[in-house]
Amino acid sequence: MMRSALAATLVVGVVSAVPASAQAPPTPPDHYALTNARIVVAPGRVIERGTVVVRDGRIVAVGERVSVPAAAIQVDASGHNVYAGLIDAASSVGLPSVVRQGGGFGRAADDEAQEVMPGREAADVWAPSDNELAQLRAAGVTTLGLAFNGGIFPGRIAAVSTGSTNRSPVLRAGIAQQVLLGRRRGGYPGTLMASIAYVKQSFYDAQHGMRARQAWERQPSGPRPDYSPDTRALEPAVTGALPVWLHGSTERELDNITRVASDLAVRNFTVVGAQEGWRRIDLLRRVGAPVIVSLEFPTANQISGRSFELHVAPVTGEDHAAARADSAAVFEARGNAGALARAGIPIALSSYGMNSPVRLRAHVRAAIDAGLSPDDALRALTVTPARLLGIESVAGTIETGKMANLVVVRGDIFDTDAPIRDVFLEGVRYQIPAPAQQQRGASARADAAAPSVTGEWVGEVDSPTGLMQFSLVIDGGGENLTGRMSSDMGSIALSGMQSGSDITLSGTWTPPGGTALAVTVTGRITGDDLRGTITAQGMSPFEITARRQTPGAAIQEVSR
Amino acid sequence: MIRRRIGRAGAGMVLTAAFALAAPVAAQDIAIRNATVITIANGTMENATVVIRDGKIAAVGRDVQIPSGIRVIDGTGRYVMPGIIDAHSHMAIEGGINEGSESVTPEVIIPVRDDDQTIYRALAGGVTSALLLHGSANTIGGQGAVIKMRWGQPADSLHFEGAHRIVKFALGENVTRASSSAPDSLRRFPKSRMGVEQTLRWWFTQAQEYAAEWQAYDARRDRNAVPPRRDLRLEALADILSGEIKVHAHSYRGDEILMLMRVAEDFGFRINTFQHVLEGYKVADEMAAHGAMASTFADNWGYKVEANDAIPHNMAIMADRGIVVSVNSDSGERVRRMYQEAAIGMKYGGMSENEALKMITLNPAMQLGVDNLVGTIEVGKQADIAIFSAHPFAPETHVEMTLVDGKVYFDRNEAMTLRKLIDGARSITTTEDDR
Repeated sequence: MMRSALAATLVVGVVSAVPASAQAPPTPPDHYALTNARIVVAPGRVIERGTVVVRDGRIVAVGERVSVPAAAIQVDASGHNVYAGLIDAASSVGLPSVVRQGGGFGRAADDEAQEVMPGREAADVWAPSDNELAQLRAAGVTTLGLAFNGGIFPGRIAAVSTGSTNRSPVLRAGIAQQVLLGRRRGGYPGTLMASIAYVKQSFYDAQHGMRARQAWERQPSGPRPDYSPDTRALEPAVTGALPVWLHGSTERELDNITRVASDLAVRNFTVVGAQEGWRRIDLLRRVGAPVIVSLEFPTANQISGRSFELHVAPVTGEDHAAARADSAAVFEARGNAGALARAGIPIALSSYGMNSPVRLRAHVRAAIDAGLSPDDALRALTVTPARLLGIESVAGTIETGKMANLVVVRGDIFDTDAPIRDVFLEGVRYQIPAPAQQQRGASARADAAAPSVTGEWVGEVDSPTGLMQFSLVIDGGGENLTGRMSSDMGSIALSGMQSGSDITLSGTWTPPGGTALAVTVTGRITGDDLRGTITAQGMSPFEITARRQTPGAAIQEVSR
Repeated sequence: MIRRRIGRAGAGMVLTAAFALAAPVAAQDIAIRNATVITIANGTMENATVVIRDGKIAAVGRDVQIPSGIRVIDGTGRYVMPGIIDAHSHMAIEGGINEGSESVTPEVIIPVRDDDQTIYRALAGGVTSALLLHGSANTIGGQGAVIKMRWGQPADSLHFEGAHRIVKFALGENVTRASSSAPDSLRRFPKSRMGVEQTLRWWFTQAQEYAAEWQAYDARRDRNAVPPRRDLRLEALADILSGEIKVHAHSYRGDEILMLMRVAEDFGFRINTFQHVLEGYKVADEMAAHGAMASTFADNWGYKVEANDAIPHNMAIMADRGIVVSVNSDSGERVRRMYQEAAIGMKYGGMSENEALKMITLNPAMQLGVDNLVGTIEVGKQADIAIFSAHPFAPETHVEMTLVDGKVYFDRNEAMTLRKLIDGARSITTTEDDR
């Protein structure tokens, strides 16, 4: 995978430490010796009591009998485990959002550009806040694979460090081309079927553009081909020189994306998402691609096949809730990563699609509780993502010569109660505040109780025939959520439940002169933004977005 | 609270059982004995036997020996007919049915989903196949899919091997977005029926040029020449011109039906089937001369301006003028009772019983290009069969069993057992809640 010229894009700073110039601000100390540590060198390889010496951003010695250099700052790690820094294989933290952010009728001028920008480098547009980086480090994450959160050809993958040192955080750019069967807002392709055609056409165009250009270069008297930056940008993916990251979460998304890959003879690819990978293990084995598993767990009613069960169940609020509450289905979905690992499929874990990426560790814990072995989990957060991002020579294990990315934990790294004390990023030490202090930070808020969802939400349904405005008034919380959705189509009384930031509301809608249809609204709350889907019986889901207008107000209307 | 959870767990168990029942029995040879067999092709036989081997009909008749060791279904008092075929459905489609962004999108191909419960409901109405169509927002929409109701099988295995490649055209109010709530500035061309005709002519002219460009390239046999740009849209249009892809056209008014036939004839292709075609009775002779078939509603009427001239005699008049007519559902509700829709042809227009039954069996099979495989009960055809409790046109009838490829995919006995289980769980839940 690394044999191509892309290897050359490894940023020089990684390969050889850049000497600090006179003008640079003072560099923090980066010569340490962690002593008396239990060192998890790699998954399954443990030094029970040893020393790690780091210098100039690199690991310079690891072992039981390593002498501590006099110049090194000694950090006593007795009673602590030292792990290689965690790598979140696909994260959208700090990247511009490609998915819908509300907005008015029609579409903004730059929308098109957001969804189809194959030449865009994630590395070039990455702008995380200091707070986001601090939270990621506090969660033990030292390295990210950067992937855009939607679109069709949103850009190219990068690997970055979560440290804010004098060095460039970008380890590698141009790692892979992201390909999603996404929709374009207010334009073609607006459906899955058109998206499949669009992706194929784009690949054919890149192929044709390449041939036409080569022919012209051979014979300049011939027709001069048009230049299209997007078409040109896709060429390396089309020839196979650049790996492709194919996105698919549900079982049929996995079917569709792998079929498109096969039709286009794309062989150098990684599957990203695979939240229902456990339902397509044979397929994933057959295509033989590594899988970057999203640890965003689907709720029970989002799992393929559940709509059948919901419709077999009587169409009443209570029984819908009963069907949704089937914890076995949720447990099965959480066991996804474990099932894939046991099937011998190389997996990396990621926060891709997660609302709170800083909760990655908690989701890994849930995956372990549902059957993923701790060693497989560690491999999927270190060695395998390092390989998929093409940084395995500098990251993923605690070995001499690699970047000094280390996590010092009092306990097991996947025990969410075990405090992370220090994180070293290229040899720079970050001391992580104790949990009591963290409580005041944003990461603690992410773990706090579920947000209130009550209030009046106003937004739009993105249906193929255009945007339709609606208002949604929600009252209650937990397992007793009620609501009323009003639009040009009439008004629907809803009931359902809230799980964390996720809501599910069901009701029946009777079109004028028609028969009653079961309607389900699912969504996720982020502050005052709601994003989700509405599904009417027998129809495909439509995306909805809404913004809270009057928190807590207008609720009396519902109870009346 | 805990008690309520027990109720929920009970419901969960029933749902698991529902999934288990949804899985069809393994392939096995079956004989249906002593039934009234409506063959469609060779009349109706009483006290007859149908033998199914390897998913196909092996024998039909009164003096048929039942091979030993095969499953025997007692057909006493029951009616056996070919599985019903729905020539117009929007069930089991993934990710939206209208690529409404542009008016000509024949390159899009419908992705089938396997978990739409409408498939099961269709089976419960004796339906074994359907044509899944793109919506009617576009002048030239997408390519459809002909499926068999292999409920419980993965999406890829629902496709009906050997069926036509079919594209959906549409005319009239829907393509001009006449009822769209979007501001006029956001509405796209065409906005009028005149525009629809010009859209068709413009695109097919492009397709002719595209086909000619490729022909010229192929004729040159020059290995060094750069092949023309492959354009999936024009490629599909060229396949329509060559007859490789068959056209099913959503239509209402007589004038637009005539318009489309004129355009097709100008470009050298034919409209395979007019869908809806509520004014077909006005232009039936012209349709017959063109060679078009028709798939219509039995008595759906007046739901928009262009549907105001519909009459329930439409099916009978078109059939009388020599058109192959089917009646379709276009609905997840009507698909459960298409046999009642067909019966309307007897009441209005006096169709014969067999002609009326053909409208949901052999005729739609012809429109989908599968009449050599299904649509009648004849030796050698695929064993897609519906077993009714009484004559399919009898008011009290219901479907007892539906077979696809000789496998039982719906059995009312099992469905009833399932319903009892659900009712049981429901009563537990209610009881616990009441406390």
